[in-house]
Amino acid sequence: MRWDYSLADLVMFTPEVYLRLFSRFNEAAWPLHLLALLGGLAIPFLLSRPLPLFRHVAIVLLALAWIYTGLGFLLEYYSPINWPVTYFAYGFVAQAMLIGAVAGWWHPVGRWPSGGARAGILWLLWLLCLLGLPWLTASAADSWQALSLFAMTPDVTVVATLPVLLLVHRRVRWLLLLLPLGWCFFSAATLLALETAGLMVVPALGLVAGLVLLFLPSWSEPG
Amino acid sequence: MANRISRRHFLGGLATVSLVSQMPVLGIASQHQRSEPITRPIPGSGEQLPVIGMGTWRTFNVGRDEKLLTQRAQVLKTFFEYQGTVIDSSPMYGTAELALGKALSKLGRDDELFAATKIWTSDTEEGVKQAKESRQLWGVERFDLLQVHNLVNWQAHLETLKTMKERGEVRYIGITTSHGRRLQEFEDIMEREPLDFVQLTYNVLDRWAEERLLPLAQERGIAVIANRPFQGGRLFDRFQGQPLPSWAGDAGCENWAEYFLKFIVSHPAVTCAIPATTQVEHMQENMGAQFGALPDPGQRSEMIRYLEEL
Ligand SMILES: NC(=O)c1ccc[n+]([C@@H]2O[C@H](COP(=O)([O-])OP(=O)(O)OC[C@H]3O[C@@H](n4cnc5c(N)ncnc54)[C@H](OP(=O)(O)O)[C@@H]3O)[C@@H](O)[C@H]2O)c1
Repeated sequence: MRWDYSLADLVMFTPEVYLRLFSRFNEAAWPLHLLALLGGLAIPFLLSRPLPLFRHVAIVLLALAWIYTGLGFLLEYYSPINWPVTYFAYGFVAQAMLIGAVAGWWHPVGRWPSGGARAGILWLLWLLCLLGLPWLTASAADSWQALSLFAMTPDVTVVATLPVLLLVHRRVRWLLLLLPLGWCFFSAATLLALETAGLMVVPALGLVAGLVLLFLPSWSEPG
Repeated sequence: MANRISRRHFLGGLATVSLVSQMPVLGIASQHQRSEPITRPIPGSGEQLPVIGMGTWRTFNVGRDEKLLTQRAQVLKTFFEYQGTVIDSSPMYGTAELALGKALSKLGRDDELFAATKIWTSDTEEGVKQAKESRQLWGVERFDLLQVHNLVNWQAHLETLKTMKERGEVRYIGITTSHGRRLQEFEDIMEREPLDFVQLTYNVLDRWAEERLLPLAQERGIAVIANRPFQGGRLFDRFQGQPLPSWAGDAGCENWAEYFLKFIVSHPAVTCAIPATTQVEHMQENMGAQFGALPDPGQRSEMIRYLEEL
């Protein structure tokens, strides 16, 4: 045997094709971006309300974010050039159901902290996911049209979900972390092989944060 | 392809005149269009193939991106303008076959095409379906060459391919490997089975095929397609910043692309090399390798030595 592989030999598309997925998807999806952004901003507000109904609405919004990302970006755009993504596309839909079942019903998600350091950290993370991380693909593609938004594209959607999972009871949280961890690993490895190290930051961050989340107690506020 | 070649030659003068008038790059390109490309016979039939073909792994997997589909069609057009014929793909390459089909129908050049694809599935029935699907994607009536990709389920697929060849549904059959995978098994199949083609990795740094597979191909009368001629692009990463040796011109090499490709196709067992590219300029450089002089055995040794010293 004289195997001579480099990691780059394992990816089946070029960085250009990958980055153009974002601009093509954004062009086709406009103006859903506005809804995605509004929904994204609404999630922490809804989660911080004392009435459980609001938190259920937040969980439904989060589940919709996963479904839209799975069936839109992953299935329609990404899977044709990278066939393993097909499985993840359906995985995202399954994850949406699981989020609904576990965080909406079985062990309902706790309240987003209303003050103190924890609230500050969670808000910071949330805004970073919503408004900061999307620019990484845009800057790699050298075009703002290649933004990767929450509820539309996978890496940011997965990472943005993690702060919410911190409000779920630790006993069941691992169930909701399996797919995010799987995706982050897959995406980080793909972007590493694609030699686009800058973009790898998001899934790599997700991978580390997801692993930490397996052990952290819930940050939710009583009530 | 025999029909295609004679038709091409018949139309040669006319086509050359009209092509030259549409040329994007004059000078060297038009010179190459007028001169005869270097060809090699397929041992089993004597049919001549130009020594530089085109691969599609990574480069043609562009999804349904209209902008990139148009750009890749331009790459393919350049390939045909330089008298290229052999195109290699696989169902494994994502949407590459779809992109090829779209580009071919846009260009309307399928009479110049030597269409080669692969069967890549562990399921025997699925293999037959795959060949049919690939035909539809490419928009060809039949493939010139069908290969079992990376020896996946090769026993069953080779039987299917033999039957297809008997029925005239494919002209040539073969097997592929790369990166030095499953070499012993590959050799055994070459010894036992009636193959027209093998495809394997051969380039100026990966020369393991010289030991057994290339001599065996010559002995058994099997055509050889060399894949990964640039080591997937790594040869350029390593050497492009370096000067060509002063004697490169005597060996027929004007640039690094010609250096790497002419090394490969000057091996007497090799029928053609199939470099892949996303860029028209790179296609022009690569296709330059099927014209002019080829290095002789002494120069081939020098070519290896020069790179090793670099
Ligand atoms: N098992 C199998 O059956 C098997 C395995 C491997 C490969 N293959 C076949 O063999 C074909 C060739 O192998 P490959 O695609 O892996 O690699 P390759 O042809 O050795 O290298 C392709 C790379 O070289 C670059 N390149 C091409 N021409 C260039 C030039 N003139 N100057 C600078 N860079 C240049 C391309 O980048 P640009 O796009 O920027 O030009 C691309 O990144 C494949 O496409 C496939 O059809 C078959």
